[in-house]
Amino acid sequence: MSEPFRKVLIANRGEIAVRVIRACREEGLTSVAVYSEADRRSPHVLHADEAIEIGPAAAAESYLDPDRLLEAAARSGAGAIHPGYGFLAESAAFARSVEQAGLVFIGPSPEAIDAMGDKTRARARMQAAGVPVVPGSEPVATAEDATAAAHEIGFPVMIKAAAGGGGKGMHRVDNAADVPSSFERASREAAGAFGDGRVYLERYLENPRHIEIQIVADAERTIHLGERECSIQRRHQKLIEEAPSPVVDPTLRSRMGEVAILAAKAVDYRGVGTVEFLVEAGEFYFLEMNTRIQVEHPVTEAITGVDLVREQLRIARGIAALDGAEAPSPRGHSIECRISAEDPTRGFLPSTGRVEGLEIPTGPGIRWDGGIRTGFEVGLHYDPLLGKLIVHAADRDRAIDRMRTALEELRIDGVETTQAYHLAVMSEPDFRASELSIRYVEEHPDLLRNPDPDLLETSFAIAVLLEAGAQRSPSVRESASPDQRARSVSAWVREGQK
Amino acid sequence: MRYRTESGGEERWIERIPQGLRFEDREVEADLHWVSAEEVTVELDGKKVRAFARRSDTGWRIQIRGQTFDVGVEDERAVAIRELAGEAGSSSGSRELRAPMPGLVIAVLVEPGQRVEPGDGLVIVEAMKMENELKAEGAGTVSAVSTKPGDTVDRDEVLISFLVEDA
Repeated sequence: MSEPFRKVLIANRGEIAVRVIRACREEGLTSVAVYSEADRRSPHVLHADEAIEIGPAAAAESYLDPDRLLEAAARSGAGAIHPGYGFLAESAAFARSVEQAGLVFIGPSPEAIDAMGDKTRARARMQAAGVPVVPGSEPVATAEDATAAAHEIGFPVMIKAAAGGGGKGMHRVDNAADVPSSFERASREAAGAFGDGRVYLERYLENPRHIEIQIVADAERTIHLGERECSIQRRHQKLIEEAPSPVVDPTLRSRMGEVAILAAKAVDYRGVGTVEFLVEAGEFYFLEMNTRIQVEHPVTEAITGVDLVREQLRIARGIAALDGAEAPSPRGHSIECRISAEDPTRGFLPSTGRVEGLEIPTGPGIRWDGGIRTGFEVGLHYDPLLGKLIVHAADRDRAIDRMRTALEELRIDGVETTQAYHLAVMSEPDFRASELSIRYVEEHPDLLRNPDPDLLETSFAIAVLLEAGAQRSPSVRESASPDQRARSVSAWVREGQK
Repeated sequence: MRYRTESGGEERWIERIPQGLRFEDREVEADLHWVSAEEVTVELDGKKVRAFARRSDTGWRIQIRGQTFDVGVEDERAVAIRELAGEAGSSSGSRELRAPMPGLVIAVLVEPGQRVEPGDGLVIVEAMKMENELKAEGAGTVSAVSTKPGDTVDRDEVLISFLVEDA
């Protein structure tokens, strides 16, 4: 068989670029990283076989610029482009120009991306295919139309970006008075994030769980690999994912799986993809299809043993999905925690800084997919995801215990992260009892209010020992790194240096 | 020497004694060794703890078992001097809205002279692709607007100043 490509350009950065580079290496393919000026020394650049600079830090002039990416592909002689997730991964126009340049786009066809990318058209198409959807409207052009649609659906409603995903341009509205301002904001966010300001309305479900089905498809077969539960989200950004879902029994799994396959087949889907559902009271509703690899793919990999990124590469090379085998039966339980540069004690505000210290947990059933290293600068240009901690164990309780141990060992210094938040969730009774919904985060606002009292006392003791030691022997301070000393200069000196 | 320690609203007075530490209600045998430039191993009544420590502006930032504690530390002399000098009152009639994170100003929702009530939106700042609406924490009158849409702001940069009546 003639090889469609031997070299893959990864049009992304961070942990997912590293993940794809690893899969390329295992598959015997040469990897080409692209990077902005800000990422010259980032892990994905260091890992790749080749690396090409494509522009300044601003994503619009680097990772989001199709021309620069295609130019880099031509220069490197890459035969295929893997888009990762985010950036241009769900841009049908980009997929099309990759194909027009004579390269392989590692993902579904531009038509499938288009069909699923426009959320309102996808809804209509899914309804026509017999897939259940949440009741909602067509795209609305004005605040008046939005208000009328909201009255028709009934409050509360969600205003969502027609072109969107990932929580951008999404707003809950409880009464008619708030529709105009939320409509304006959602339109502005949608225009900024997707270059398409159209929004539509949907009924707001009170307490649903977010459960999604992983699909793998080649030209002959469309297979589902079971579900992931991703109910723990904040502003529609997932924080913790697990597989299997504690509330999905084999009957519901096969019903949802069948519907997901129906959805994928309706757009003639190829490669790996995810069909997302909201599940409430045993009923499930199509939310959207993500036509790409997802952040949380490792939990499915853990329980099925399928390397989803390598499957993407193999399907693009024309090899049968799962080598022609049936979907493996799931084994054990897996959990993923997204470690982001956000400060959970300050409303998850983004945190920036330099990674001063980094220690990654290891041991049985522990996996770290990361995009940082010591000395890495966490800036404002890109997504705050630093890495993902994934565990696999025999059952859910053991997986939680394992995650807690791993989170205790993880150490990222120099930037605030969501680590302590995840630790608190692992001990929280509702989470342990798998009483989850997409409102979990807002319904548990006090998770970080009460730190472990023993650890607090211990930290007081250590601080006094250190302070007393520092006064007695200045050598302790001397052993601090030059950078640490710089931090302890007085505010007067700092101001004077400006 | 006695020390006042503080973290997350909790305060403890702890004395360093030759064999360890004296808390308000108990004594603990304590021993600390540096393992590397930022790692320590501590024994408290025979129980071992591994921790990471670095100096902060007010004391020490300590990481234990995945949790971070910013501990303010002052010895008793420093506390006494500070109390003698008297702390300046903070409710002196003017308040400021400072940027809680670095970002891009998308919209300014108020203008000088405008009255605001708690919860009123003041400024929308975008960071890492998400819009964050900064809201008024109390009632007052806007005395100055120091930012405009399109500005890039640093954390703690003053965005809006207020006059507060009941100061």
